[in-house]
Amino acid sequence: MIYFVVRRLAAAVVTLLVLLTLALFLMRAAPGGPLDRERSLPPGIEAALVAQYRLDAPLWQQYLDYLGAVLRGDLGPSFQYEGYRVSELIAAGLPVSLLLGALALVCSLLVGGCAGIIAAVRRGGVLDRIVSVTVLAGMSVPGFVVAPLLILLFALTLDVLPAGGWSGDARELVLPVITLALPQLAVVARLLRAELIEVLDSPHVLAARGRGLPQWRVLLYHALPPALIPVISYLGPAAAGLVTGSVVVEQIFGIPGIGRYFVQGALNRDYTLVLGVVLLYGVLIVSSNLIVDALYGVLDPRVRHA
Amino acid sequence: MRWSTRLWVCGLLTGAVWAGQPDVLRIGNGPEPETLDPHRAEGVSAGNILRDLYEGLTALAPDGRPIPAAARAWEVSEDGRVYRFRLRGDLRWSNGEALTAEDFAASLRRSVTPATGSAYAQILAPIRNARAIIDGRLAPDALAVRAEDPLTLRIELEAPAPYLPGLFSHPVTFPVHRTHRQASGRFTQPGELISNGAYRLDEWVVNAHVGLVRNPYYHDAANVAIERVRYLVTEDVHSELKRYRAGELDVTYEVPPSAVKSLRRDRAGELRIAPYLGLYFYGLNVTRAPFAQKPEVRRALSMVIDRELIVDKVLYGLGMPAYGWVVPGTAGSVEQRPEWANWPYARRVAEAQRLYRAAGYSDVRPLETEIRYNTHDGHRRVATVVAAMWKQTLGVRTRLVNEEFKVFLHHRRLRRDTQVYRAAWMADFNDPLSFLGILHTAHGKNDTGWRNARYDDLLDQAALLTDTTVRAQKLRQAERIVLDEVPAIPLYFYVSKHLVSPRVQGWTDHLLDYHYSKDLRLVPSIE
Amino acid sequence: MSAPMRLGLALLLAIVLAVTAGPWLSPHAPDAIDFSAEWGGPPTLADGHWFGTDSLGRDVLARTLAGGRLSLLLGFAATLVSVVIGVAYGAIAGYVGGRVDQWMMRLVDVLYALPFMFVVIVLMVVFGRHPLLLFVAVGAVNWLDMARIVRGQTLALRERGFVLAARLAGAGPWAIVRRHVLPNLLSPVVVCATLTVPQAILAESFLSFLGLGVQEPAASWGVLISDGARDMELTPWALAFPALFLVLTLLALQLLGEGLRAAQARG
Repeated sequence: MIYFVVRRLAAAVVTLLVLLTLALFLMRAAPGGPLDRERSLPPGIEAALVAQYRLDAPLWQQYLDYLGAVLRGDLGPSFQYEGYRVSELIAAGLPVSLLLGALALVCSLLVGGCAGIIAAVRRGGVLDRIVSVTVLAGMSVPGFVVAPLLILLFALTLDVLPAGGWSGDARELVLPVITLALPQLAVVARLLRAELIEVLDSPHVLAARGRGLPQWRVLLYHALPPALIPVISYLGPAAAGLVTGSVVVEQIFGIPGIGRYFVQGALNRDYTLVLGVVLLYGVLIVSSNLIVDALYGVLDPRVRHA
Repeated sequence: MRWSTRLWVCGLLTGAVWAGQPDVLRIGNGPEPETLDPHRAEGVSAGNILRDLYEGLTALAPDGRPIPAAARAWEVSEDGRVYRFRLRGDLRWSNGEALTAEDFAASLRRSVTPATGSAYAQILAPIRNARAIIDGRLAPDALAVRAEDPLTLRIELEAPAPYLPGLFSHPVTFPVHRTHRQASGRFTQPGELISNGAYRLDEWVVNAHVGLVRNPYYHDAANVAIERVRYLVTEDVHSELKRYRAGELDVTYEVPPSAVKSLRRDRAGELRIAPYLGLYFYGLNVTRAPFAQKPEVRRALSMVIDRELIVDKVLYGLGMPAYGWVVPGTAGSVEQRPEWANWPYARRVAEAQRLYRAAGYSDVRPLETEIRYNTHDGHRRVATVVAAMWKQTLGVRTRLVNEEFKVFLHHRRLRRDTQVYRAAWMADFNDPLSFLGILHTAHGKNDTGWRNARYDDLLDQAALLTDTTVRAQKLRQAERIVLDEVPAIPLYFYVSKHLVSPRVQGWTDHLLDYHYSKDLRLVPSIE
Repeated sequence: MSAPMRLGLALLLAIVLAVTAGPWLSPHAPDAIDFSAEWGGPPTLADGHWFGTDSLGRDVLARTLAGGRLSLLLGFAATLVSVVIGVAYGAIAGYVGGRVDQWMMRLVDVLYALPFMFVVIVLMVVFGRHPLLLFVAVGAVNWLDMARIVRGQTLALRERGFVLAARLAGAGPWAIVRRHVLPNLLSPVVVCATLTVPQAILAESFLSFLGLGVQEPAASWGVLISDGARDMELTPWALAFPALFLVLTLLALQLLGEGLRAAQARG
């Protein structure tokens, strides 16, 4: 087991290195640079800035410098947010994104999970239909449509929740979390339902049922664990995506998470910031994959760590 | 973990609700300010905050006229080349230290130092030696700005510039404290950012808000009514409106055009729309086909654009039709219009069709071109309509090319693929030169590639004149050349547009859209 | 064929027919501005704008149908790409297992860890905006999901009794994959594919929200919905009709997918 973990960790480091390299060179291949702006800079000033950010060195030199700095734990200065280090920006945004992402994840697992189980058990019934339709709606309406509708309903019409902002009021969390959780919840419900129906018909569940075990026991101990496999393998990356990919929600509700850093950084050619977020994203994904693989073993003991 | 996140967690645990304090002015401020270093800042968002944090030698009155601020008065020499600014005697930094003329001089030197990396330093070019310092040919010490005594600043110019006092309301001229000049103080940290304005930095939560608190050392602190100002990041104009409607903002950064109709009905008293010194235009790449050497074709394209319809239906009235180049209301200008601007639309179309055919184009052999614009809903709408107008009147085939901003700027500057590009210009200073200058051959943003010796000559002459009448005349002549040659097509003049809550008093429409928080008051809340 | 499945198929065919033939039959071009009509006018039978006009005076019906063409094309093309690559990749990795599996999954991890938006933004700026790139980008991202799911299933299947029995009976690996693994994968793959089509369509609409989607004056449902959401208080019909078409399409796909799954379970 320890050998397995060490091997996976070593592989993770290589993954991150490849990722960073790929990202850096892709980013630099895009036309336009961080110093392009609406007003042109006089040549003297442009030269001074280029030197300041060390953009005048050959690309491979910049690449090596950057890798060196990253190894020392320095993600460099941001181009776009002047005076801020990328690490400061991430440190400010990450807790926000984690909080939102975690809440959304819990919501989607609990609500989506229950919905999926109910739909599978009452297959073909009224509840199943209701769940199916809701799921369909949840998946087919994009966040940038849901969010304004939620604001319209809860903030402007009913006046019970704030329309946005991040000032410390816990009610500010509700609408963003719903918006974030909705599509995930739908996918969870749907994957779980499909998988559970399959598993419920499988020999070992039928056998368990045949032994006269109560329905809930069969469901919880025999059917659910293997049915969770695809859900887990979906949720791993989805969790990382929730943390970094909530651009729409952050923009509409005015939330200072890191999703916006990424899109704004890429559009503004803030090389260091984008690489910092890519690295963070990579770390999250790699670690969530490790967890998912470990969970496979727990849920389905027949899977060995080859 | 940031304080706000901690608050969050507390809020979650206890279910406590932390209500906004009643004496906080909450301003929607568009995108995140790029920096609070006044010399490096470029965007409108940063400018708004900087005008509260700092105070320049002058400020601008609502009509764009310079009025005393840190300087109580100024004099200009007979030949218009030497200015003396007399400072107030009670100026202090936000840490209590005295602020002197030498601070202003040293700050101006910092602005023009290439290593500072200021994009706006160029507007200081009228000051003697500034241009050479910016280009790296002279040391910053050579800047002709001198503190004659602690309360007098002497500034020597290359040539007369009647708009100079107004320049000193611009952030690039604001004084920065010794610690910032020595590059030790960080502009991101409350406490480290030392300023001289009515407010000082209280907190900065990136991508959420910048909070300011009253500066007790400000010379007029007794008359600053609002204790705290919070500038909130509001990137999405529709979300901003929703937050305003929900009572979470007192002032908005913008108003979505599509909402204007309903706002005029429901909140007419809160909607503030006013003229603003900004021009929206389409630049034409005149260095290549199809627009090189073809002023007639360019004019035809300009003539068939129904600006009234664009303003009315695309902008929902948030703009003014533009036929001239200098925005009406600019100091010392008279609105210029080409003759055809007064014709009925049908006659304009007929004349344009004649010019178009005379240039060898027809339905069989139409002009094929493209409009390049940066990704933005408003630009998309305008481009779509202009392309349809060209197609439906002349038969021009237009391709719309939407690029993200950095790529767009890059292509525009290369002038290789670009044919028609979207552009806008906001006045840096209140003078026709600010608008006419961008078409000068030597201007860094003349992306049209247009060169006209007579035009350049007229501008160069005007820059040396002190006689305001003759100067204005030269500038008018220059503008006529632009309207004849059409290196760029003016579409509309901007207006400033805000929603201002009835809670806020003292709001005045302003030609450059400056609104100093120190001049505002909040009505005590009824709750 | 079950009734819901027939309904789904009929619905899907109707939509495909409408978006294919519609743009030729419609009196309005999807990109033409009707200067004589009311801009942002509500749906009416009077002036021929049955679904109303958008805020730039263009016919919403014509744009919805034309947008459907692009969206469906995008959805199906991207899904096809993801199914082909994902199933092949995942099945091989899962079945062969061991070192090969590890390396193959490592590659997936690397690609996974590269944020989708990053890839797309860079693709869009380096190569310019072309619908083909959208297919590639969206398909290339979604095969990863498919590969993971297929691999996870294969891994589990490999350990199942009947596969073991077949192996003991001397069946070759190819025969086992074809006869025992792939048929058992059909259900999750179909479920996943019916998820992928809407995902592809939604991914494109997300890009449109950021302004990186299909170029004007062309339209996709994503573009129409993201534009419609912007003006939803002013011209709700410009949001409602494209959204309705999208939801109906997804419903049809769902019914179809369920039907296929049920048929598979019986067979």
